Amino acid sequence: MSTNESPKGRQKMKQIVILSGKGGTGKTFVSASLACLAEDAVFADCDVDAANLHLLLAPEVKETHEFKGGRVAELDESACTGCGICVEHCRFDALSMAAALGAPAAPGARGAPAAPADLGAGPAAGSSSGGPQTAVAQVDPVACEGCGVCGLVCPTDAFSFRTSDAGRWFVSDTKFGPMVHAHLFAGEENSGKLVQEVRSNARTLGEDREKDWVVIDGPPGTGCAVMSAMTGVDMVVLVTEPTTAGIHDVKRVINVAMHFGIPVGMVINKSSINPDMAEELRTFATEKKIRYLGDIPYDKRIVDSVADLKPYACSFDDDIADRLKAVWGKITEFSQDEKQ
Amino acid sequence: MTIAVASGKGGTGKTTVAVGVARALEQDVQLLDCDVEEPNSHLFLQLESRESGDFSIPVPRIDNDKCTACGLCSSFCEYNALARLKDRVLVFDNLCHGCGGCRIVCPEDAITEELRPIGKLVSAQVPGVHLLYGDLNSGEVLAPPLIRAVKRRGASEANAMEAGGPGYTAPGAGGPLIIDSPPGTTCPMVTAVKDSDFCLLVTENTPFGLHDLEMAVQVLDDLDMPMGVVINRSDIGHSDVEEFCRRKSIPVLLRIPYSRKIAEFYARGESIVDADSEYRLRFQEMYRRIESIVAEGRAG
Repeated sequence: MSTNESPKGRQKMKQIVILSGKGGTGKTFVSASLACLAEDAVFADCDVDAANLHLLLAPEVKETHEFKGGRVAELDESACTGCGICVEHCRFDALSMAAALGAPAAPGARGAPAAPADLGAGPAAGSSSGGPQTAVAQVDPVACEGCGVCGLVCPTDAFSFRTSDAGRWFVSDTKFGPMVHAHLFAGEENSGKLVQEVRSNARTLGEDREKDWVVIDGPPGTGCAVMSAMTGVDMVVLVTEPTTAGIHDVKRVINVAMHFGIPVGMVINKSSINPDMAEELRTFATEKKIRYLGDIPYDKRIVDSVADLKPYACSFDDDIADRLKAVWGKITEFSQDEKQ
Repeated sequence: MTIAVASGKGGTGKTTVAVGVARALEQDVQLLDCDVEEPNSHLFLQLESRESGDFSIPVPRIDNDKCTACGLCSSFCEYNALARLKDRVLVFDNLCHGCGGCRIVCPEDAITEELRPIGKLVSAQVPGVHLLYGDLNSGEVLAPPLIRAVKRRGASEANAMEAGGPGYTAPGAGGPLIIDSPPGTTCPMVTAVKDSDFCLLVTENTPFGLHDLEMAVQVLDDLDMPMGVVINRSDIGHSDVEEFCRRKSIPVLLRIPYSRKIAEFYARGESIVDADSEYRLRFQEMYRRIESIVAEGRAG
């Protein structure tokens, strides 16, 4: 999954991903600064659930593409006999009977008060036809994993599967270089697949335009989307904070990165909030052979810069900007070492 | 009454608020931490006891003596967890969602299932708070099933309590139940907040906070769930969040100003209600307001 050698003997394009485990540690604040400092880079916002990098980099959208999510079961209510076999076999709690068997269902009844929201097929469709009402199965599109078992076991073939229109991804231009970003619609799943889509398009774009770097703002957490964001990158840059929760979560991400054998660098943000824990993080980094990239103090100027939508390192000329520049300097230095 | 605490953006103070409410109430509370990729509520509670069990999903095991490598199972599998070779089928456990379809389609009856742990379900106790949380192993992708398991377990413990009670104290069914939701607005968040009586959205006064709040509000509107907003670091940035809430008629139930002291307490893993006793009262007050909003909604 690594990048190909570029033609013309150019230096191989490097991919770095900025991750944090816990949300709110300053991942996007650091990403935006690295993005504006990196000359000749393409950016990818892979925090597709809560994409924010575009707010700081102010992209001009050039292309918009549809993103198809996973499959979701759909029921043809007129074909459903209410036998309940599908409900029995569904392991994701995505199917239920709209009303108890044999009970006369009121027209448009939605079952128990706890019934799922009617995001998918309208429940009213089959229940307004008059005549005796039988219970029919009901699909909860949020819980449905699209596995297909209901379709397999249904004796009357009442299920079909549609691919959901789950989001959009964009190719844009920013002041600092091209950017690929995305928006996953509310309630959708498959963020891992959208992250892959964003990454592979950013990479192609970078290769076409002969860029040196792909700078990726990653998602929080340690799950599917994080794995998709880190596979095959040249370096994981962790932005962490010296808090109990920050340390707890960053260790989880480190485990995943080490499992893949990816070099890891660490930035400690809000370092002055708890100097002892900051020291604990530095010691931990040394023990784990993680490259220490520097720290940034807890400072209101940073929060203000985000409120004013300014990528810090290229908007101010002060000690914090200097620290961010030093972080970028170390990243480029380390990536030179990696080559040998 | 079930209150979900959610936020579009991570790191806005969701866990601070969920634990704060749970600690501030004078009655027993159930707290379900459904942020299974990084459950953090337990870090802010001095747990007295902890019981942990595996959460597993069934994955296929193939009897090679019976398997004819017909490929029906691998072509059925939506997750590419089965690969057909010339004379046998390979299983990739980490891709399997545990749907069980392969076993049903196999004409030779060659597939059985084995449980594979993908995380833990943990039950813990501090005075007044019964905590349940899911802890998904790093690198695993199936957060929603574990979130559902946490909620099912929460409901069954509340029912058990109602029926005379096991060895721990949990409020009975219908008692105060707080859900700490995963961040974002996609499938795991919806799975966590669904079926709650009320959702508290924690945000901050920054363009990031506002952008992600708008998305979270859209999800709750789709779920037809009453909501309120907590603005953290409320004195920083601009007033766009306040304006948005006014426009959408969403009550702002609590404002927590930027405070180095709260941040330092947070860093040490201590709850906001211990940092400042004023917050105990403010959280109680907020809970009462939510109670009356939910009661009005039920009456209306």
